[in-house]
Amino acid sequence: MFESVCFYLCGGLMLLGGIMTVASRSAVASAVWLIFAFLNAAGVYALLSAPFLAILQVLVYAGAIMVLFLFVIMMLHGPVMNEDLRSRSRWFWPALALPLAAIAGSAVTLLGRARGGAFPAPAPHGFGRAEQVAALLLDRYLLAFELISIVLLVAIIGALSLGLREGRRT
Amino acid sequence: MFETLALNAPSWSDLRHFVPETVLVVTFLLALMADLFARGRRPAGPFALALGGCLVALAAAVSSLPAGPRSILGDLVVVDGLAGFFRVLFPLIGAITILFSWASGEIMGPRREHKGEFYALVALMAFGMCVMASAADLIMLYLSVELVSLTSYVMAGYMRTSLRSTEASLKYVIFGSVSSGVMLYGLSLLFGLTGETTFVEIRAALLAGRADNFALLVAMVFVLAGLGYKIAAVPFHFWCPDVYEGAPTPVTALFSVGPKAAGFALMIRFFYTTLLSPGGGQAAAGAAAPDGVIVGPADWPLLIAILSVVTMTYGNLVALRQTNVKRLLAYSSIAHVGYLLMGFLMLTAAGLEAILFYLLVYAIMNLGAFLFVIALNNRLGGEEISDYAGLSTRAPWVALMMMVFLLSLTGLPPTAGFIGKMYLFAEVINRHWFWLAVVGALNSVVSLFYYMKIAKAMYFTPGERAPLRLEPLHTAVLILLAAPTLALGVYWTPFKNFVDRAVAGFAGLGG
Amino acid sequence: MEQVTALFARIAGAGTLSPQLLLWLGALTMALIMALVMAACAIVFTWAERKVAGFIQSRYGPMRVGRWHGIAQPIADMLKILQKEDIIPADADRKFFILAPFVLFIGSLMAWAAIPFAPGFVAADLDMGLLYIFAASSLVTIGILMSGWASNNKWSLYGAARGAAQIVSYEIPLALAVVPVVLYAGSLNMTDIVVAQQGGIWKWFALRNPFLFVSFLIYFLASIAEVNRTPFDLPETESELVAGYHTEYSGMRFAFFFLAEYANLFLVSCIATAVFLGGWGHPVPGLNFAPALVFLAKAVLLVLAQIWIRWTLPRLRVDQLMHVCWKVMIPLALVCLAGSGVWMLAFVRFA
Repeated sequence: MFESVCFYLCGGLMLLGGIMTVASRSAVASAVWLIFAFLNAAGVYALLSAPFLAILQVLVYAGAIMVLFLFVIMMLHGPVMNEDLRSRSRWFWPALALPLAAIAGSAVTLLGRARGGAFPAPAPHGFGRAEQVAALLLDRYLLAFELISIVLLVAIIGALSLGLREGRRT
Repeated sequence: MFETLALNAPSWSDLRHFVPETVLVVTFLLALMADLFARGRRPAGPFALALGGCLVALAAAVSSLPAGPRSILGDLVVVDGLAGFFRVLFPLIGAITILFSWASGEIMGPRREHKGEFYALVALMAFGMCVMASAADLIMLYLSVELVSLTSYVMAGYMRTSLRSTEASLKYVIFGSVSSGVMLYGLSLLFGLTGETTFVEIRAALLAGRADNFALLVAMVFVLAGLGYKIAAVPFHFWCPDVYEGAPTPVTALFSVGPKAAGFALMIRFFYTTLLSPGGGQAAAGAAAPDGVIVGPADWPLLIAILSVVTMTYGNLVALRQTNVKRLLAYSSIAHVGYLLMGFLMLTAAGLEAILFYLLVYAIMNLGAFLFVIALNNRLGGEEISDYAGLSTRAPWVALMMMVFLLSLTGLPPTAGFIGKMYLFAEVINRHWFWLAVVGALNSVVSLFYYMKIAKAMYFTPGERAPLRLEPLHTAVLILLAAPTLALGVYWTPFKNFVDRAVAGFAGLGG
Repeated sequence: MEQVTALFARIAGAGTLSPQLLLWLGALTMALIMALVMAACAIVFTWAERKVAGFIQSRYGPMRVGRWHGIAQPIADMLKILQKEDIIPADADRKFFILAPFVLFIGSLMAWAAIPFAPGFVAADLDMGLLYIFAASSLVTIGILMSGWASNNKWSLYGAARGAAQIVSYEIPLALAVVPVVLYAGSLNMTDIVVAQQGGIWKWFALRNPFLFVSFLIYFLASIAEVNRTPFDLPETESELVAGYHTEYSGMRFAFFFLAEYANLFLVSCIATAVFLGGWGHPVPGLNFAPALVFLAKAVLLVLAQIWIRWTLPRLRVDQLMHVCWKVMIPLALVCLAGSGVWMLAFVRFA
């Protein structure tokens, strides 16, 4: 009971965060709402017996990636930034169709599973702990894990290659 | 401390079946490091390493064509005939790109440090595309697509000082991230529906009726959006002309064949493994029936047929109005995706054979056409159709070779393009998709107009008369590409056999 | 926390309170204790800071308030600061301006929950306590950025940008430095890590092998950068940025920044104590009655070392700051990680 309340609370707040991210007037507000959504997502993970994922969500997304986002937004716009970023373009309605379809798809997926009674049994002891995630990553998904390292290496090369100023040797 | 979870743990011996890929990754890392020590105007070390690596990978791939499907490395990748074909194709494309980048002014121009990076990235891209072709798991699907995309973004923006190149890169990044996000959502739906990540198990779950049809449709369309972006099929093609025009031409050449073929490989693998059940009613329902039974809700081949028609028609019609050759070739490459999709929706082994054969031919002739643009851009500094005026007198042999590529792209005999199209259309007609065949044929006629615009400029528009001497390396590679374009139009049996073997060893369609 | 809930249960009489209520009461009490600890360290350490500074600069520091060596000076300061007018600049982004100190404060308060002061005396004995602490304290950066941006003041913004860049960068060597410890302990649980160091000073992770000692030094230096203190105090440089990201803050809101800063100072020292210096373990016979005191004593010594460094060393330049982090500390931390792994394979017997 208590866990369900927490779950729906986190889920609802995450949704609110997501909507406000899109609907906010300034970019900084959007970013802060996104952090809010991420924190609630971490809460949802924790309640779904995936504590490791929850902590990584906070550490990586809220704590590092979004900090960089905020950093860049602030650096680009200077102290005062209150432009309205929401534009009413002609792509507004088509663009809206995409998330709606996504939401409908997930809803139907979940309802289907609920109807079929296919909700999984409670997670076994130790599920979602660091050891278990590590065992999967370094065992069955080793190739994927290594591939990610290559992807990240390319990202670094890209950042340097595209961002480095011309003619500077350092 | 904890019980072993893995059932299919990867082992070192699995790497024996992963040699070309391993070679390419090692090549990438070595070339990257060699770049640090590269001195002089041109980075000879990374160039030699990358070229050598691609050739070694090519040799390894040719010498170890997989006999049957084999799931390796934790079932994340499957090495089968299809993967075997593409791991021959991609190092080949990589090697050709590396060769003609060496003499290209855009890549090797003076205003850039660390030029060796480029060669390392080409090798890496070849690796990423090979992995795309053998991915058998949703995670590998996504990661390999991201790897190729990220590499592409870097390469598209390679000319940092050029505003167009930077714009191309930015556009590519924005469209790419949106479409990969959409695809990821589709993949997560698919995982939610079936609880599995490997393609084979997803199909098993779908066959067991564990998925809701509507949700499956949404998932499928979302995945198609991501893959459609990679092959630049029409509703997802927006980035294509701008990126092709803005990126350095050798990169455009690579983009127009490499990621496209890899996208097709992945599409074939994904759709034919998850949404098609092998052992169809070939015997039962006559020749018009496909080799597999559609799994899931929708008549997705029809969806793809519509996509195919829209793609080829749009590509061809817009290409008509182009005056910039790179843009023209961009739209023409969109049109070619339309033709290829026709083979894809046949759901037959013969359809796949036609696709693979066409991809091989397309890679050769399209690389040739782009190489022509690069070679002339080095001398003329432009790539408008009007720049080529009077080329037949200035450089007759080069003009002739371009003529061959153009004829082949149109699909006229006696060139390889004709044979490729012949196989495609034959299969379409065999399966009684007559309206599709008619639309395809009409489109080929339309394409004749704009390809011949280039030919007309070269042969009939008077221009400068001073003879034009190209880089010897460029001429050599042009010959290397023009020869098979002609030869394959006359004698194609070994290649067709090679392709047929690849399809026969494909894990989908019952292997 | 179990002990606290047990205490409540005993006070109220067995069975009179529902377990759920007990849980809430226990959590609330622990949070209160943590907040008090934070306030207390701010009070104690400001005084210590000024006295040490005075000692290093051959002067007395505060001497008047409170009879003995100005001992009541921080209390007087606190009272003064609480009475100050609360100013919100007209052009500031009100919502974020108000929110920022709380985010900062909550971030560092949350991290305290997983610190094991003594056997059983830990608010939340999490499986992944170490990761949790890093995750919670990473929220501090968001508070800093928000405050700097909301103030609508260029000094604040520069300070915030520097702060964010610095903290995000130094988080990497900080985290890399504790990974070898996790390797040794085989757990991310803070209590497990401390327990693994019991039984003599040579069991302390900082002294287990040479690589771990270097890791400890890396951790210590990076943690100074994490809390924005000299020689890494670029976000708050008085001579360049007035006071950095909290330039525009006054009164109670400023007090929150102040509190969080000293609480963080103590927090990183507590982590170092628990992870590298054996927690409550000690070699002195007859000290076992007060494990928490041993723990606190070690942490306070580390804080004093940080104060000592602050008043001794000059400030780094921004490029030097990044150079030290990315080109010295991170590679070194990686070497230590690999070295510790090899050391373990070579010399440590696995049960």
